[in-house]
Amino acid sequence: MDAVFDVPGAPWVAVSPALATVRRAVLGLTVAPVVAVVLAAAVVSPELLVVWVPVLVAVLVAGAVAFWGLARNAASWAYAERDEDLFVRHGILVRRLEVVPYGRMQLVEVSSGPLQRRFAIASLTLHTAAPGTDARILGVPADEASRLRDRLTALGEAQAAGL
Amino acid sequence: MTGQRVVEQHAVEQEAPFRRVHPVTPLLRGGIFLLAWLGWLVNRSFDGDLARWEVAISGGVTVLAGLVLGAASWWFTRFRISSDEIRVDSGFIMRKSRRVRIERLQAVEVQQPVMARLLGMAELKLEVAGSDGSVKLAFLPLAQATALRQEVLARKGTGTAGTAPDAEQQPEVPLFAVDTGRLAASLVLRTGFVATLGFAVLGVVVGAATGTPLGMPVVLGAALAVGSFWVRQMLSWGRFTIAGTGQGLRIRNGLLSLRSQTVPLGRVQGLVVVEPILWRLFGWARMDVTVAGVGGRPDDEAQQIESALVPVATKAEVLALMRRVHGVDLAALPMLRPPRRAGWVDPIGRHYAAVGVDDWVVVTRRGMLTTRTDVVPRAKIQSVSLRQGPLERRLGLASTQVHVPSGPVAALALHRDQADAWWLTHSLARPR
Repeated sequence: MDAVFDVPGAPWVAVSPALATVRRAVLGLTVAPVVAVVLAAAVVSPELLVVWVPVLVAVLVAGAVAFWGLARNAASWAYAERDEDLFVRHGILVRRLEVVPYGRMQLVEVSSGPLQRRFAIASLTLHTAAPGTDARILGVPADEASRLRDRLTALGEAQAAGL
Repeated sequence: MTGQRVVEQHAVEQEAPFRRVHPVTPLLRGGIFLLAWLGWLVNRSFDGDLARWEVAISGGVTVLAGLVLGAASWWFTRFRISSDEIRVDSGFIMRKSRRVRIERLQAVEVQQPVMARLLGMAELKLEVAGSDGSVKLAFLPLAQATALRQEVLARKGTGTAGTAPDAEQQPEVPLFAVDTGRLAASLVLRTGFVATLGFAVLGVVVGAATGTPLGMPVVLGAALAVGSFWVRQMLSWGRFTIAGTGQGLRIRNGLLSLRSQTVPLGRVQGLVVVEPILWRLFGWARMDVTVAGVGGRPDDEAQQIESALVPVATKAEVLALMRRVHGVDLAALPMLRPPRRAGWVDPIGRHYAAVGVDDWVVVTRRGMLTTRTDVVPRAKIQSVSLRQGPLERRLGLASTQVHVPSGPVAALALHRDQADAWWLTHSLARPR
């Protein structure tokens, strides 16, 4: 990462590599049925093979691009805990950085789906009074997520600024 | 101990007896019955053979039912204002009792729908934070509604029981009154209005050119849409005035139905001056405000009215009001433009984008068709984000966005040099 998305005073903490695995698993679970349906269709109506082959190729290419992109994107998620605010960044093509002062946090939410639990990761979402605040951290290791939640909640109470 | 508390509570109840709304309420509410009956009559007369006895009997039944139901509903609607809550009981089949904690009240408004206004009546609308919505007390004589409003606000202010102190009856300082002629003209210059007219003209021209009788219905439809929009907007925005009081800004508007609301200055989260392209020809602008607790749907017409501070005025007037009420002098704040190379990303918008920061506020300007200038007090910033698209990255640019509670304000500093944007993001997020 170049200097613009650098952070003074605290190190960037990368999220778990399991995030990429989970995303790839979800991708696989989405693409596999589509491929199966296209193959089945090709078997049922072979006279339309001229349609099915390009469709299959398109699905596979899109899947491959997503397979590569999702992993790269997953690696871009990181956060940094500073004295007074939390930095969250993500994105490769379009890069985003959200800075949330602890005193503005209203709610810290940790969620984890079945697949995420299988890999012991969770998503952490910070809510402020502004709906535009987009401070999610995907793929935080589960125990780190609960530590972070407790720490952020405590800091939020200590530095609360209100409306 | 328990006994004593019961006695105390009893004493409080003695102190604040239940009150009823004005007895004329069922008549005002009964208008619906009458309308339903008239609708039925019209419908029936189209079927033919509408006998006189039919009219008489149905009319009698309607009036009787309306009166009985109205009277019953009036009798069972009672309210009581005690030291810390307002209780409203209503309904005679399904009893309903709502309690509103005074400290939770977001706003207290006096409204006058047309019919009520003819009789000098008003309703009191109690806005509560959250999804509970509002509680309405209808109808009360205007003077009583105003007095109740003062009483509730006084209790909210002091947190104790007692009659409204005279300090609450502070004189209002008139700050702004909309110019009716300019309002009428400004509505015509709204984008939707102009677009509809444009389409109608296009329809007529195409109709004439191709020789198809397409013209009339299109023109009629457009005229109807445009006309009703104009009338509706004039009715709700007409006689828009702002006055300063000890409690904040008192906003009144409406030609037929009057609405009055108070914006507490401390809850203002940001302001936005909006200048649509056609208004800029005349140097006009409008100003909207984001108030904590009044958030939500920006497309909603009611929401638009709730967040309006100035429906239309010259830009100088708007800036003067902003300086006087919020202490922000936009003319004195140096606005920084994006670097020239931003033209590669946004050739037109670059000329309109700018950002200015001082110790108290951050101001951003953007938009060619509709130029908007967002003003956010730095103390109200919730979070700040930095965004860099692929093209911006090539050029070493980035944009900084400031997040505030939901409302019309959305401050966004477009296409800054990335070091600038980084500094902005950092320093704006620092709590003040």
